[in-house]
Amino acid sequence: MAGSKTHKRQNKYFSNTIVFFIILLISFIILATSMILIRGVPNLWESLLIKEIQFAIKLSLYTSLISTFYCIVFSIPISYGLARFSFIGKSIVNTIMDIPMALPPIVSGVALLILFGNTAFGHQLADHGLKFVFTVKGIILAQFFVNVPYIIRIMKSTFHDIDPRLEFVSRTLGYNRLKTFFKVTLPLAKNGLIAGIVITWARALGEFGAALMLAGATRMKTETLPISLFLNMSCGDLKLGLASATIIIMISIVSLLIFELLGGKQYVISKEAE
Amino acid sequence: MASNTLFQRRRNKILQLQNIYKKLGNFKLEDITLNIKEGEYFVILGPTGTGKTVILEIIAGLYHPDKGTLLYQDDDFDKLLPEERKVGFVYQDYALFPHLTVKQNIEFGIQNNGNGKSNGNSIQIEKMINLMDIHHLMDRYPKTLSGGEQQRTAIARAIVTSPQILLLDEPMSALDPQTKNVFKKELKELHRFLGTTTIHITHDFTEALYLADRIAVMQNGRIIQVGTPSEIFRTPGSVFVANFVGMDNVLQGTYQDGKVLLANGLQINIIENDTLLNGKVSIAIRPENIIVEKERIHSSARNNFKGKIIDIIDLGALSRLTADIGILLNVLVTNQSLTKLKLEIGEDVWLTFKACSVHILRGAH
Repeated sequence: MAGSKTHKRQNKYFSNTIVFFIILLISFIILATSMILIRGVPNLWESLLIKEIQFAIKLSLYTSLISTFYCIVFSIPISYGLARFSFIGKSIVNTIMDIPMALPPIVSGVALLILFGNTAFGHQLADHGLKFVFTVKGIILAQFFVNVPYIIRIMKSTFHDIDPRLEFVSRTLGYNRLKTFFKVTLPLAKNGLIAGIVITWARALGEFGAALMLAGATRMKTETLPISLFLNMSCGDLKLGLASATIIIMISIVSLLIFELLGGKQYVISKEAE
Repeated sequence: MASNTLFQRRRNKILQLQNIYKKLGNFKLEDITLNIKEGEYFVILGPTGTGKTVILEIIAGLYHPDKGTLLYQDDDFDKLLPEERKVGFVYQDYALFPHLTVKQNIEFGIQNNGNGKSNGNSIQIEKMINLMDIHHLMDRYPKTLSGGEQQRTAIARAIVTSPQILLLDEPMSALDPQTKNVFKKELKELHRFLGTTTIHITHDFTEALYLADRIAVMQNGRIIQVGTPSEIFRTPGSVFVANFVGMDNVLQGTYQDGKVLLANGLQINIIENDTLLNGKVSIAIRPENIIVEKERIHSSARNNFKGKIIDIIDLGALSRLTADIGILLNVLVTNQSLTKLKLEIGEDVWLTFKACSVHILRGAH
């Protein structure tokens, strides 16, 4: 049975190849992240006492929480509409919603900078107290602009996976659309919503390019964790830079774990299936 | 039949579907006209994929008909939102709210009325829980329930709100045969007890026969026959209905003076002497109405044919025997008489049936 031997040998090569690539990439990822963690973790406590790092953590938390809140407010009605209703031009709407996701954040940042800094519309807003250029508000807006397509995607597939007949049964039991949404749809979307919030928040914490363009990188003013990393690395303060990086990595890993725990894979898969 | 007249008088038309058309993707409902009476148990019977569910969804308000009118007690029902129609809907897979317990599912419709704690409602819920025998399930979540338990919960959820119409979409198709039999009885008792006007969809004729006051048979998005179960069973109006209700022997021939002449020259005596009947007709003979004997029996039955047994299939208590008399006829015999008569494949037999057992099918061929 020479043929059978060949099959066996080839099958072995096949699985060995897969294992080889998995191990290679995993080692690479672990090696790279541990470069930061090895250097950053021992100094972490010390770094946390530094004013600048404290400022960056506070500003990052403040801006990311607010931008995540706006992402939720916008994404719930939009994604429900896109998941449930069919209308003319829906695919165009879907594509437009995805544009900020396709653009490099730095380009989004330039676009926002021109819109709010260099147009009559932007000046009008600034006159009414809504200044986005080189301000904390600008950081929030940049995070929102870059992240809202992600949460819309996650919520869209979450709503899409909820059987519309459950909503219909609720209506036959006397609940109108609004009440049905709060009594049936939203509770059933809970896991997707939490996963969406966690991933949006983690992305907001790490948002750099768009925020850099719109809000600038001013020490102790628009200095979020990633901006702090950038500023300190630029002027050679490796210790401070690594402290910010360590904090960001730790937050990212924790939120990734939460996302996976809540069935995040499911959302990624249905995202691909679209 | 005094009770019967009382019964009739109470039964006004309550729900009327008039010439309803609906196109949904590849599929369409055409010219659906139904008059459903108050308190009636109405079954819509037809193979899967004929649009039966869409009729229920139009009644419940998920879809609007493209054409036609939907009246409830002579008012335009189509104007009302689903939440205003007071219908109870039970889907084929029950569609229980997965995030709520059995208890919360059942109370769902009542809580919305804002008087969930009122005495009447709690009595109603209590009654329903007893009726459906689900008190031991109250704190469980739907995904931990068996098909039969989900079914009871879904029905309880639909009827605690005292709906004007109860819509059941293939409620038994996901149950095992034993549970199905028990449930059929319960559903019948429930209807007797509550008297709710019910529209039930199924592809199972025995289910329809057992439960229905009247049956509508559907084919390709159209209603092709409406009648009582015995009308449909005894006098199916078309070849499709005949096949659907298990009338095995459907034959084509030409009508002439009280006889139907089959293509191979066989003559079948029939009773109907309809002058309108001329030319090509389809006839049907129920397999249980044919008698098998080894010798020719002399009786009043006017159709006697000699043939040969070519197949015997054991169905449990009965056997289905196929005999070649020039054409193939199926006959149902008890296994007892099969042994008594020593009937075997290849034997010559006489088949006998009465002229009145031959039904003319008037519908499309």
